[in-house]
Amino acid sequence: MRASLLAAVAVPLAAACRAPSPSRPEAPSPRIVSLLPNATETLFALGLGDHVVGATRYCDRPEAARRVPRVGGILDVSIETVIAARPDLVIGSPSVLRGHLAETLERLGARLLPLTFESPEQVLAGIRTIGVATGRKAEAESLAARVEADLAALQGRATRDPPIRVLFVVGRSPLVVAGPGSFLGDLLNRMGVHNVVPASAVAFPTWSLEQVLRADPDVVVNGAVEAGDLAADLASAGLPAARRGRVIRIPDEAVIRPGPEVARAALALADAVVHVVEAP
Amino acid sequence: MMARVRAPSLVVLGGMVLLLAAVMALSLAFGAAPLDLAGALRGDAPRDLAVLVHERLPRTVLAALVGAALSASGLAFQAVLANPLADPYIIGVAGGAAIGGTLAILFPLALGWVGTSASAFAFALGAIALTYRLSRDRVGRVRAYEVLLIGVVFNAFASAVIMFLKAVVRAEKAQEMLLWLMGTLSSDVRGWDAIGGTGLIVALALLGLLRLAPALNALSLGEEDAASVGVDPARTTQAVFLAGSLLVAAAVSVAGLIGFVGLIVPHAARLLVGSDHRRALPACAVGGAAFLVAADLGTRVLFPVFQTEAPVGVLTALVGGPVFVWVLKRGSGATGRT
Repeated sequence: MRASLLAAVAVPLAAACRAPSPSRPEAPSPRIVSLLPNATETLFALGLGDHVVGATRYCDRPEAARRVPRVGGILDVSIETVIAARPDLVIGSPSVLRGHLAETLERLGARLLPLTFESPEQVLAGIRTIGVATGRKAEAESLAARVEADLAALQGRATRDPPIRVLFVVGRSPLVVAGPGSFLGDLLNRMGVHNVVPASAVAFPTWSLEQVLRADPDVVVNGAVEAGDLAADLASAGLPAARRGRVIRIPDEAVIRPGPEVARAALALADAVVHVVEAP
Repeated sequence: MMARVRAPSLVVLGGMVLLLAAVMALSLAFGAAPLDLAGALRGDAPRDLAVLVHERLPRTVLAALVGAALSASGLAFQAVLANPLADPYIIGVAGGAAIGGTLAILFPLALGWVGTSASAFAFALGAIALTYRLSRDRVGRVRAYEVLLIGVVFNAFASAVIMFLKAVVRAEKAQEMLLWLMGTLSSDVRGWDAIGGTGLIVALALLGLLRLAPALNALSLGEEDAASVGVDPARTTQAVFLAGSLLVAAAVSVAGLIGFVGLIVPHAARLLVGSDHRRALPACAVGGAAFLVAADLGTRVLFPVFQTEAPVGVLTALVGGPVFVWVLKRGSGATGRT
């Protein structure tokens, strides 16, 4: 009696403890928890939206992702809630998928997929890695091919002589701008415009109005989430670009989110920059 | 005069122990997601068992340890500095630990959270040692107002250093720093080795303080009176500083900066059991443990509302503030003090 009771406790326990992270990419319906908005967007783009059983509160792209149950933020993850979602696969940034969280999830048999989405190359790699891990290799290849085609089209899309001088604003107060070391700086570089922010150790430096006036960009791109009336503020400060109506809003929010739509959004931005400069 | 043990305070102490046990049981039973407790204990719900054993149990124990450490050290510093506003972070420990933890987060030495904890612990002790050294007069006595001033200045200096670091690092790193600085029990310090280490330091320091309790009682009568009953004020102060510092450093190194607990629990404990440190100290440790376990339970239960676990320090302040004022007014009304 006692032995059977012990066995009843010990067997599932041992099973739970020993379950080696099984690789089962062809699982019929993998349950996926995504701790990265970029990965969530990729999963939906690969047609895996129904399999996402947990996401962060920042996962708002596409619209359907807003209805996925929340398990926390990108860094402040509730382990209990993740476990309760019974995931087979957990995708997150390497700084989250480690230590206690990683150990606990692996003990329960979930596979962990640490990914970083901070450049177009990492977006492509992320799409392919997710595709392999979820058995959607073909879909992932065609999505990646589409992103690659968009990136190719982006190359030099806004190149003019002399180059268009652009300032990309990502935050209003304080005024945070995209430096050459940021992924936005990389996109500007690819489209062939000149980023007026000089290279520095900080990817997204904070600027004063004085620096904006001195840099005197041809176009200001407004990518700040809460920007107020940036154009009016810059115009009243006397910025020539603002007075000529060359403060443009990003055509697509996806450009500030390195995900599967980032290259397409960057194309739209390149066209918008050229349009506002060349408009009569 | 201080040898008499009042029966009611023992009853209160017993009640507090029961309260702590009850709060810890609740903390195991409830959380962000519902748990099949019966299934977990029977063994047919391995996931629920994992949540219970690997998540809620270590977290509850950690909350109790940190709460006890912060409250007891708060009481000790208030006594030895003769200042009711002294909280365990005021003596520079907050700044020291914050710099240590921040540096470890920014420049990880592949030690993960162990590195963060160890670095915070070392810097916290270093900051206290510095404050202590700088605030001694020529004959080696610690001047309370200098401890407080130097502590406040050091904390302000440290927060400037941290704000600078935050401004120049990547957004994700900055966020990680901020989460740690706000104080959290959901960090990665959940291994039993880390909890065992913290528990050992806290237990030894608490025992040390308990042994010093009679001397602390004497010291609260004034240094000359203390000396007349054979208590060496300088040595007592030094020993209390050491024990208190170990407590705060241990707490900060695993949980970041959780404010308010070390300030209000000592006052509440004294109101409940009197200011005899032999009663107040255990009351503080047990009460502080129960308070922080309850606050942490609150952050987890409220997860579905905010979609995040609110920083536990926010909850301790929001709930603790009004409750403390209530206890204070009720206490002063009952004893006729103003």
